[in-house]
Amino acid sequence: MASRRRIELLDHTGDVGVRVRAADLPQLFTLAAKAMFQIICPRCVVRRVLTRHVTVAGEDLAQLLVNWLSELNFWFCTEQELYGQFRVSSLDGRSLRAVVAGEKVDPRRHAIRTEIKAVTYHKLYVSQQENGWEAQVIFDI
Amino acid sequence: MSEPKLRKVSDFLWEIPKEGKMRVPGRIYASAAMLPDVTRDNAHEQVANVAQLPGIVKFSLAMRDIHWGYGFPIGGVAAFDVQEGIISPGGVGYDINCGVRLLRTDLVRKAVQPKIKEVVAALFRAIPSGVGSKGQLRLSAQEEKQVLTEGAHWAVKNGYGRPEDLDKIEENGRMPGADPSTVSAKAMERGRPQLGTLGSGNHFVEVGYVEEVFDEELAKVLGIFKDQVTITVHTGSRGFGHQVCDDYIAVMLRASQKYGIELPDRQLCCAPVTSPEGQQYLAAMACAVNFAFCNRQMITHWTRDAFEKAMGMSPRDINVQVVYEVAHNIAKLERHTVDGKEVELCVHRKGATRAFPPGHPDVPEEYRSIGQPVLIPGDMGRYSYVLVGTQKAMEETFGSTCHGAGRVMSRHQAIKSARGRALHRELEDQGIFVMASSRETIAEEMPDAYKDVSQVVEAVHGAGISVKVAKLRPMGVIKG
Repeated sequence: MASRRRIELLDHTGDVGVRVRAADLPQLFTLAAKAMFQIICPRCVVRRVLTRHVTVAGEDLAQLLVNWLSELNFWFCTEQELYGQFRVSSLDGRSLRAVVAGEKVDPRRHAIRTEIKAVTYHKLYVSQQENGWEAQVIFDI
Repeated sequence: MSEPKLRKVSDFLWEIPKEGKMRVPGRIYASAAMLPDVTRDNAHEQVANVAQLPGIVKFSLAMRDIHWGYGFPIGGVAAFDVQEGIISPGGVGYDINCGVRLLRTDLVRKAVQPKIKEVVAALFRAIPSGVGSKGQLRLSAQEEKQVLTEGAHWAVKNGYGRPEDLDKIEENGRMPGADPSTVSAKAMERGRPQLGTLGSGNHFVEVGYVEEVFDEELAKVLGIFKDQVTITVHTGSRGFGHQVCDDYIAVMLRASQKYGIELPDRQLCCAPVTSPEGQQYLAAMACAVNFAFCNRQMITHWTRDAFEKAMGMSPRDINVQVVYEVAHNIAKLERHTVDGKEVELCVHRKGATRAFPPGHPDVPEEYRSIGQPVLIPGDMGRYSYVLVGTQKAMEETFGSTCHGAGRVMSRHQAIKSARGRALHRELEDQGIFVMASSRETIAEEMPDAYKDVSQVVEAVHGAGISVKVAKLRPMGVIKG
């Protein structure tokens, strides 16, 4: 694990995705969210000024991942909130609860790069590996 | 299907034979030289996947600008029998009713070129653009619902543009069947601040001129002449449409299971057109279609205003008129003739443009003798095209043609290859003045990142599914 990068940005002709690896599911979902905000705002420093409680459900882990990221993107799109800290308090195959912390976009400090239209199901997976978990998700941007 | 099996039908048409679970063959409009582009990113596999969906009629089609999409390829056209077939949000795409509007003026290039910087700056000030751009108006939830059912008519009623603009929009700027009760609170919330905004990515407003007229008679009917200054608006339904698509993909994943529809790719999830889920998606999609119609109508209004101010001329002297507006991400219920019988089909066009022939009742009366105008934008450094639809398109592609250039470089690759280059200057040297909300947008959208749109246009012209009318060259562009 140590030799492999935990967040890998995927770069296709028309879109962008991420592959993340972690020891357990809460870490995996945290990394996926971090990766998404790296795409939205690369190298952004996000202060912890506000918190938001997030609860999402899904039919399986893969849909749960899509719904989790979509929920965070919804708050970015509507309230211009960026998050830098993600605390997943419970996660089973069908639901996730978390508290996320961040701040509203400050144009003086945050250079927003990309608008994510949606988190897609294309080539999506969450899978258990020998020594942890791996997930891949592709964004429509 | 790693080795593509493509059979040549003609110089501009290739067939993927029906095999395995495919219900119909696939067909790709491309020249032999362009085929490696199609197969490189496996877009042909997506054409074959779409051919597996229930109720698909004749062929799973792809236009010359086909490239890899989510589930359905971009540049894809698929028609499903309304009684036995399906409707799929993935077959429309996230940016529902992304489309193009072409405006013409009474001005010639010489009059505008010296003032192009002022014109572009005025447009940039007048039209909110960029990531998360918010509009100038504050809509109430009630007003937003009116926008969803009335489309561009709402805009005209509220002082954005003129009644005659509406005659030159697909569906006359208002798609019937829109029902706001099928739209989530999230979509309403995402959409409300974004009405009247351009957005980011490949969306733009471009001031150009008619560089070449291929067919004088057709051009005359469209009011187009050589050296005439034109304006092109390319945008869609913004966050509203993205959220509608997202919401209904979740609905359709469940529906696909419920109706026992086998999916080669989850992103192809769908429901029978006649099912409650299918009908609800149609009604919600129509809301997003109308949002986009209204959006482009408002942007047209501000464009007129900004242009007049920057040029210091009266509306009458500039005379900005709508040539036409097309949608290129949409599903529509249309009547087509299949095997000699007239049938009702649900035609999905994802990155494809409707191209109805002369005489079709859905073509505005003024243009009915020549066919529906088709607007194909290229990249910001080269050119865009105006074409018209043909009878052959009606017979072969359910009245459809291509929609644009398609990328050759990923956004990241483009940014890397733009490093150390002064793209602004390079474009200015070619007589094109660009303003964008971010430097990265210009790099991502630089001409080298796109295929040459003329090859796409030659392929559809050569195949006879549209006819070239004119070529437009950009002078000034605003990007998100």
